[in-house]
Amino acid sequence: MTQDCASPEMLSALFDGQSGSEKVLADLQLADSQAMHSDWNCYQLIGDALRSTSSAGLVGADPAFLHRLSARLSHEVVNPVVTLAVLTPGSVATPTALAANDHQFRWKLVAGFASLSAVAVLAWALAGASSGVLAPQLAQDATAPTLVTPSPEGPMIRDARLQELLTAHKQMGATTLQVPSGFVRNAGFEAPRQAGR
Amino acid sequence: MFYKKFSLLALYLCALAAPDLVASQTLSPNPTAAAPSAVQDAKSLNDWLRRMHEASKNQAYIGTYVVSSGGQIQSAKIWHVCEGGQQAERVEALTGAARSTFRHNEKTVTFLPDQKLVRHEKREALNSFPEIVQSADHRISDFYKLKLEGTERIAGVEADVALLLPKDAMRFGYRVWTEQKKGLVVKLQTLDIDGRVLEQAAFSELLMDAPVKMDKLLQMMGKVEGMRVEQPTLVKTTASAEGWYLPASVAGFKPISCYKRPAVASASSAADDSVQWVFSDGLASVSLFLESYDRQRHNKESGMSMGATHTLTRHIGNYWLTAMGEVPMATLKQFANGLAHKK
Repeated sequence: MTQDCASPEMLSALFDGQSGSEKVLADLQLADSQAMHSDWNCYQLIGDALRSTSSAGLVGADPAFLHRLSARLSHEVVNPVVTLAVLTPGSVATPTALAANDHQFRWKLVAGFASLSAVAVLAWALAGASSGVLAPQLAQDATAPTLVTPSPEGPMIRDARLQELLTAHKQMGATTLQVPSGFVRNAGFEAPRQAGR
Repeated sequence: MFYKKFSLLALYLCALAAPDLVASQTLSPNPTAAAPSAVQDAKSLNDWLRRMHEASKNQAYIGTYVVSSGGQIQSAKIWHVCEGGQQAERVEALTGAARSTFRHNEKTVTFLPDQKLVRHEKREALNSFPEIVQSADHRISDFYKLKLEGTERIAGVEADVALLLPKDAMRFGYRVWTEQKKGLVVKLQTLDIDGRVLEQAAFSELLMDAPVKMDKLLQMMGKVEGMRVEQPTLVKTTASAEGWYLPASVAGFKPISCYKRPAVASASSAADDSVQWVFSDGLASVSLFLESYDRQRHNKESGMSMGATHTLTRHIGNYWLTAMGEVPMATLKQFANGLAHKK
């Protein structure tokens, strides 16, 4: 009974190298019990966590869980081609070499996300417009990129066409007062924060 | 917001009216007594404007010019030279996309190294300014009031501070710092109707009478090897020839020029010719850009601002209007509401 109560401390001492060699054998006999085995794993995990900066390579995780995980992984069907077809319809050739396709896939994915997020930002910035109508139009108009970036003054709109018009305005409409600043600036228009202003 | 503006406007009008009222009561035997001072005001404003305009031409300087508007700060280095009645200038953008603009009299060349593009343009609007001051019998002074506000040191030079207050709500006010010896504008604030600073620009560094060589600037201006040269053929036209008219003019704004601008193929492939109709009250200007309506690109009417520069888009019949100017949004709305096209 007393042995059972003292065993976690003894195990801890053994783990920390504080246990004398003559005690080791006796202590190891305790390791038969299921609880002792679990404690051992636990201490090992704590020790590893304390010593290492990353959680990679931690041992002693629940063996049952690890077993289940590896079993599930081995049965997992990985099919990136299907995902790719969904993301970029009609734009992908039938993959012959897997490595090449994998490379292409990542780029398509990045591009897809970039355009998606651009549309999302625009839809958010131009609040009030029906995003369902707006998004396809903006997605089509990929040749003239409009950039919307948030700023303390509200969303900032950078548009190639607006820049052209601003330049034209500054050149043709410049008065003495406005001259230098017209050439200094790049267009960055602010969307209205409130209607009616 | 509107109430606040109106109440301020009302206060402002009261303040304007009050001295007149007092004057008309106390000086009732001579009701024209106020007129000479108004003429004098107009003269001093015109003199001041002319001096400023001359100074912008007859200078040689190198400086760093900083523009701060709506939370953004942009700067450029400027080289300016004047030799024998000819002007040349180089403006090198220090913020954002690399861009250098060279001006030689009315010729402008813009280098966009990122796009390997050079854009040649010709303009004449700049020269119209003195005519506005000279010909049109105190026209600027009909809409602005000059108030001198002492002196201040800017970019290492002593400057006179002048306030140009708008007389109505259709335009912005300006606080202008002019260098004392020659009158070069060294700092400029654009003020909204409530007197808040919308935008300001100033030299952070300035070297007057700098050794800028005209021929060197012109040499740099002509270096276009390896770049694509774009030369938009601006066609001078009239608004009525293009079928546009503005039945009710917007207070103080007179048409200055009208150009047909061919589409720039690079950025907006679907665009066709656009018309630019420019108006000015002498200090502020408004451009009305008109192009064919394109359902794809022109999907939403909107209003935007960049410091003092406001922009409004509007669908008018088969056309799309982009109105742009250093004026309040209400002024652009008035332009947009009044504009019509002959069928």
